[in-house]
Amino acid sequence: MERIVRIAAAGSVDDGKSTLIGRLLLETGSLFDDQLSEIDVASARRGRNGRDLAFATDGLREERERNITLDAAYRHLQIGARRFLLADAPGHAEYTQNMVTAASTADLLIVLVDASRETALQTHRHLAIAAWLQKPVLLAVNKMDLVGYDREVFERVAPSLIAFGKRLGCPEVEAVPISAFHGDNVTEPSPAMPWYEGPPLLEQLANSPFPGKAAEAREPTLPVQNVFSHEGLTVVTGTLQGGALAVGNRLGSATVARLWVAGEEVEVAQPGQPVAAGLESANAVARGDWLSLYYILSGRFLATVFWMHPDPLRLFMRYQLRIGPRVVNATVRRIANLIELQSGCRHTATTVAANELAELEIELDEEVPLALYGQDPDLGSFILVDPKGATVAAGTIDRILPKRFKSAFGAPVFWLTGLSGAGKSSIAEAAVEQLRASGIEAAHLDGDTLRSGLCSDLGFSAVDRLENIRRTAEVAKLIAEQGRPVICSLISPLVAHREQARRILGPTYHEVFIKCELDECVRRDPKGLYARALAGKIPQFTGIGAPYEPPIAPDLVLDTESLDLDECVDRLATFVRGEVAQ
Amino acid sequence: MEMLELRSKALRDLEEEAIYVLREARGQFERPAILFSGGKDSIVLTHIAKRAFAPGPLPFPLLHVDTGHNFPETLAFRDRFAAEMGADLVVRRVQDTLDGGRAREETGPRASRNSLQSVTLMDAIRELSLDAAVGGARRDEEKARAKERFFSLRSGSGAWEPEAQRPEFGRHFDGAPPFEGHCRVFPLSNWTELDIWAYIEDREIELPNLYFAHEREVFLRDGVLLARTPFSEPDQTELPAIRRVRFRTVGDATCTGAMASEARSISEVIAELRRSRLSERAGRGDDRRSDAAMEDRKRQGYF
Repeated sequence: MERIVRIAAAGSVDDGKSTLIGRLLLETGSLFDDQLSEIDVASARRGRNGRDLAFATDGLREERERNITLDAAYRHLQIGARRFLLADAPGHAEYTQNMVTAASTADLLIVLVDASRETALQTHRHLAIAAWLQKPVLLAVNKMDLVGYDREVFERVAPSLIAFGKRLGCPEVEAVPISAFHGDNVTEPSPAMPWYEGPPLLEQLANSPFPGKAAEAREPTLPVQNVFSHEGLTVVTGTLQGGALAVGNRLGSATVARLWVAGEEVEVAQPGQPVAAGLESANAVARGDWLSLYYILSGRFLATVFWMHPDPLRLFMRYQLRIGPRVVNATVRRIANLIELQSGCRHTATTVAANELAELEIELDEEVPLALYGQDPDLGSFILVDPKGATVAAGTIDRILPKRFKSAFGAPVFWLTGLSGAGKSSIAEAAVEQLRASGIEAAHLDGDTLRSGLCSDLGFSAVDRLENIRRTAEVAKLIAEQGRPVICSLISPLVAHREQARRILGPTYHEVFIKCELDECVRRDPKGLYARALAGKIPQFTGIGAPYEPPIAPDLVLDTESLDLDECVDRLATFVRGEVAQ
Repeated sequence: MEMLELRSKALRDLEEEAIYVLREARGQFERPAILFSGGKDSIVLTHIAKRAFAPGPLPFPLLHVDTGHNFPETLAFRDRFAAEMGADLVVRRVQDTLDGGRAREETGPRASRNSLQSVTLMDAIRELSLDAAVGGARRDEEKARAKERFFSLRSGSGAWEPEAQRPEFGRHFDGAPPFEGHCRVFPLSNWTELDIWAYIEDREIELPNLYFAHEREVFLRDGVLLARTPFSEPDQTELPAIRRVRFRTVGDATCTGAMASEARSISEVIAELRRSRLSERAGRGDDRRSDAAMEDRKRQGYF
């Protein structure tokens, strides 16, 4: 059987949502005999003329007494081979947070409209929420029986609401004229509305494609829910996102040694599956981490936020931001816009109150991987929790804001120095890749590359070596001033060379010593240069015919004899991220 | 070990959702426990919890509130099941609550200890300092439950306040309990009775034999077929008879109705349920007391 399609029915109070759902349940045979007789008894007890189908979902005493829906009820129904989970969302403005609750997990919203009355503000609100959450909408223009099944009424009501929804950004809006009370166009085409040529509501639900979450080919990502040890492995649990994961793959900085899906040991897990991954040589992993290289690291973003709590937003107060298992402290720095739900208009505001939608700039206490709602609804959305534990708001991440740099001179420059064969270029190249995956576009200036182009006129005399350093540092400065971090990898053998680079680059200069003893470099000799130098074919080769002076006080030392390449890359990338962050 | 596959996409999604919620329950709370009744829903829930944390141990104790009116089959199954799951089983008895004067027994022929369980449960939650109680309740069971959240808060007295539920947004659960309160967690919220049975079939889960057709002495009371036990004796007008029956839900013997059935295997039960025109709780005497009976019990701290 295919997946369960989730639908939320919304719309203003008294537009007939509960009646429609009751009718859908009744006509698809989804109500049991004892439930029907219970509805009949409740209807009679409350003096209804006949069976009140709203009682199928309005199950609370207060709902039945006040004839309203307070909170969403979830009901199952089956049409043909397709299963639906239908949420009846409340229509009152003060319970809009419960409508958002129901809408947040839905594949489709049915928005009911009362054809016999002026379109209610709440209808516009619900369309605006559908647009915000990017949910397709099926407009059910209800109570057509009260307007004589008049085509003109439908054609007055539907197009303007469709236009409104589309203008706000709903991905799809369609309309069907119905009478939930009499059943017209619910399961069968209505003989009273021969002018309507589209399918009845049930048929639309049965036949619409609901693709579910699009499978994007990406890096696997595991938002970690729990961590425990098992037979020497660090086991992390979570629902896999993004891409498939196999035993032997890297996840974050560790390697997957064993893998389980829902308790069964497997070789490969697919996105969407609940996995437990046994990691080898994992560094500190904690609940809330995302094990991935894919996401952008940032601490600042713009989000559309629906306020759900009677206490209004307080700027600069500390809230907890939760994305699934991740919890991070957050403050709202700025209200960019308030979005008027009735009109979709944006305007400035000084506060955000319950049931209002706003665009906010949010700043986190630390940098974490972030995703955009448009690309990934699960990882790109969040809730805000106040210090008392109340869920005060729900949000979607629209835009990740650029980082600010520590130095006023621009992005940092990392100067990798060390003997030929120590591993400078390999480490720099891999670090650039890793940083790119986490949203930092660092530039790489490599000694060999520069010497084949910009510095091809230079040799290895003392003067030429100094000029080579000067040109490299000046190019690095130009790039860094434009906001891109730079990693330079060149031997730069003398203290004087590096001091020249430091003079040119100022406080953006960071020295990284790629440490490896000469003997080991000679043994590695990846380019065969040492062999040739020792044979006397390359004069003034650093370490053989020319001196190398180790740095006096480097900002970072990577000893490539005791650390493997991955570890060196991780440490350099971590160091870069720390300097790039505000 | 043989791999057991779930045959439908719907069931795989429901299992994933349940596992996600269980892992959140373990991750967000200091002292969560599974509310274990010995019924099929809590058995399935415990199996899924075991899978969620494999290859590690089950990280929840099982808390059973024993009314003293359980079927002996349920209790025997419970003890064996807990041992097989490697679970820490904690039993708290309604009888002790009564002996301690914390509740008074209902009297008369319709007396049931069902609602008294809430008092014992709340005492146990306080005694064990539980901050979360994970249950197998489903939204399709009953109209008040149809409204309940995955993470459902309870006040200090254990009360559910349906008019003031905390909103939920996607899969971002906020389980911070209110002052002196706790959280109930329902990983199987979106399952139906048939989903539970399909899962039992696919995962080859063992159930107490009460769920399958067997011969038993029963009598009819208020339209519900009750088993004759030391706690549920027929009066003069209620004539007991040996019938072939099974139980659709398993709870307190005084209010759990049997149904005439020939279904002796899981697949026969599934076929029978597909034909049934009655809901699962039609056989529950406790829900028939008023049209808001479940809501009222939940407001008092019920499961």
